[in-house]
Amino acid sequence: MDVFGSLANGFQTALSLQNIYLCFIGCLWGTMVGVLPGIGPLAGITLLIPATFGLDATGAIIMLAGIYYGAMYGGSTTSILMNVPGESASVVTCIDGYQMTLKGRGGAALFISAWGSFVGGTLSIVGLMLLAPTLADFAMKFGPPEMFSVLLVAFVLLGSLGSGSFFRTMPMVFLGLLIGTIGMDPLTGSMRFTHNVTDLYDGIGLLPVAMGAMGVGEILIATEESLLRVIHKIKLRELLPTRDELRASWGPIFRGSGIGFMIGLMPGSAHVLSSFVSYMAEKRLARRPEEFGHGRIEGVAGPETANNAASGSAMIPFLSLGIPTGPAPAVMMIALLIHGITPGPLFISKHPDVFWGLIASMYLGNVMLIVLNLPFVGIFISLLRIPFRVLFSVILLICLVGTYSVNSSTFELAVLLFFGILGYFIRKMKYDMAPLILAMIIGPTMELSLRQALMRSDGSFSIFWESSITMTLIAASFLLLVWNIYRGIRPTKASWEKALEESK
Amino acid sequence: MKSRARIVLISLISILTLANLSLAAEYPAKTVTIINPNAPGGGHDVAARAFATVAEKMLGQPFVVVNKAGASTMLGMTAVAQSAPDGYTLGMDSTTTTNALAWEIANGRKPPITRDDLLPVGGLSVNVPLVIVPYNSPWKTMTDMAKDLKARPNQYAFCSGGLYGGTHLPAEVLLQAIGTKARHVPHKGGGPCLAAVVGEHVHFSTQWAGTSIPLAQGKKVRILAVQGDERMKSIPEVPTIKEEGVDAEWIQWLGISVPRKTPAPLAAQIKAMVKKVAQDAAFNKILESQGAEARYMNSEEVEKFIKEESAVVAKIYTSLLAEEKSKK
Repeated sequence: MDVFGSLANGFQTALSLQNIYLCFIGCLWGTMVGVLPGIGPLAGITLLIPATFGLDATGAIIMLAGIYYGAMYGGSTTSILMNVPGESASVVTCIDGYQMTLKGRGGAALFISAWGSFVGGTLSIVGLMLLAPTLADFAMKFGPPEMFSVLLVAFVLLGSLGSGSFFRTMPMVFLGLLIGTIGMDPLTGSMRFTHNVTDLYDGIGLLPVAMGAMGVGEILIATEESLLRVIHKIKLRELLPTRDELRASWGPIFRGSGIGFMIGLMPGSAHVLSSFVSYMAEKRLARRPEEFGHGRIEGVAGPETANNAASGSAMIPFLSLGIPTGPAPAVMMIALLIHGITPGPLFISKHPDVFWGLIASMYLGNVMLIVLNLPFVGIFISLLRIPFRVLFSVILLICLVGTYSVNSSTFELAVLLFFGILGYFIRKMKYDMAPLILAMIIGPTMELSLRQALMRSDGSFSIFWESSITMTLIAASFLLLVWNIYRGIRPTKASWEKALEESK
Repeated sequence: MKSRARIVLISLISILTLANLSLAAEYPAKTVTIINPNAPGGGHDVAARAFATVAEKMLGQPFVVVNKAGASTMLGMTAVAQSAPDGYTLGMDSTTTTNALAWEIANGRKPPITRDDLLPVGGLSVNVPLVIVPYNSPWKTMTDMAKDLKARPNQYAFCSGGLYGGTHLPAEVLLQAIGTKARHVPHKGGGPCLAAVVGEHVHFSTQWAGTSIPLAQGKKVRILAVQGDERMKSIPEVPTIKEEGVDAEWIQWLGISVPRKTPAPLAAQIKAMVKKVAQDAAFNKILESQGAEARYMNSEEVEKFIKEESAVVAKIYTSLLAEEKSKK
């Protein structure tokens, strides 16, 4: 009852005319920031901080949070339509989303992605509302050893990510790991592969690589094939998912909500990891995993739900302890500080109006976002009617502008083009780029947590057997690895054998 | 005829430029760019944007914040040092830049710029680190902690928001003052490091007031000492580190710098402008809300401060690097 009473008060705050307006502005801006590749939620929030100086704290946080979860809605759009990941969390969405577009089902992918975002976002607010303080304490117990073991499982799962075999995926994974090591070693400060190039000190940015390898690479391949690509004329009816697609999405959406919510609690690159783990879970559970990578709706529904659910739970440590575990919550925290409110363990009890106002506005914002996003599906799809010989230059421009907008660095433009060309050759050789990009994300974090754990224990590996969570996860990853290798070397049945079996 | 026209034209131009020069007396006369050498978000960014907002209102010219992050502020500050010395490019300078430059020198590399390329035109705020421990830590006072750390070198672990960064240095200053060693676990950012303290994954850390004080009020961490030169208004019960018998003062400054080549009269105008903004109540409130202490320092004071901190940082880096080398 207490919760509902507080929530009712929260709705009173959130439903004031000004706060509805701010929530709408936040969601709209968030959607735009998400749709445009390059500018992510972080830059989106930061840009609007000065605009909050004249507002009260509740209004400010309502608007900034709107940008944060709104961006996760928009992120999938360019991934699905153009193979250009809008945010790093949407890299996985490219795999099946873009294939669906090529098959003329892009509208359905966008529709399901918006719907999944809504369900994931809303469920994660319920979790945030009911369990915030409890989960925050749990999240704090999640130290480097636990982090390492989760990433180890994720890393092994990478092996079965691509549409090709284990042995075609692994080279890409290793290449990604190598690229991930470039820059200053965070634990000793020594430079790796930087060759005294100052631009390399901070490592190679993820977005230029992802946008180059996937977006620019795709354009190169496509222009080589033909400038007169035929895009299906799409009727309104085809924008909506079919009954089969809807039915197939329910499971991924609910599992994605759970996965995203749990992973969002972990510090670091939670969004990326959540969409990736959800994708892998769907692939494992699917009756025909080999169809993943060729445009399965589950491969869009799960990840896009998960990254929205993660954005809800990633706010838990920040709201209930005042500890921002990612860059975007850190900026939101600064905004609250500017308004004289210090988030900390006493925040919820001291400022219930701000906290519950925010929670209520998030319910509201998710409804706004789905209303806002569904009509956009039609508009975005009509972009595909632009002749490809024009569209490809637009996509290239989007990639360039998006990359430059993040750090105003010409070096990153070079990175974009380099990986575009590399992506082209790698695709020509029938390798996938997604494992490379995900390895680039997972590798450095995994290395960091392993070495953090070992520094804590003074080099003793016993720190990994001390907790049962770590033990279980490490054992699971070994089993998965053995299974992957077995599947890789198992003799495959010749086609006539398969045909024989099917005829039986 | 033609040559007369030319003379007229030349004299016209010279008159116009002279007029321009006299116009320059009214600084600023056009958009001023503030280069923030850090990524969007974070203390530098808030300070820069707050400065821009206040200055714009005060002076009636647009102030634009440009983020040029990379190589721990060196990319952005190099851009500042190499910009035209016309007063229309300002840089958010801080201890972070001092650290980055000292780091390059300690490693025997030539940094792209030195402190001689930048002219500090005013300090805006200082940040004071606090020594924090998990709430259930057996250490109840700074004296306890110092005694234990000294008795058992390398037995305890501490975290920072980044290797050789803003929250690593105060801890090293502390350890050197005590005369002991501890195991350093760098994290990616202050948030994850605070989480490690709260979750008892490390034994202590030196963290900024803004995030630490609320955690202490919520009984998640305990603050043993203030590493500044005086007790803090918001936590008057916590002693300074000197009061606890450890000589490990360390504070971090944030201010504005311009290219050193800026002509003196113009520099004086910029200094006056910075001072005016720094005394604005609304601006200081924003700085204080970040847990920083608004403390205006004039150009000379900042230069003296930089000289002192450069010496301390250089000493720490050299000894850390020597230690790193001896391990190999």
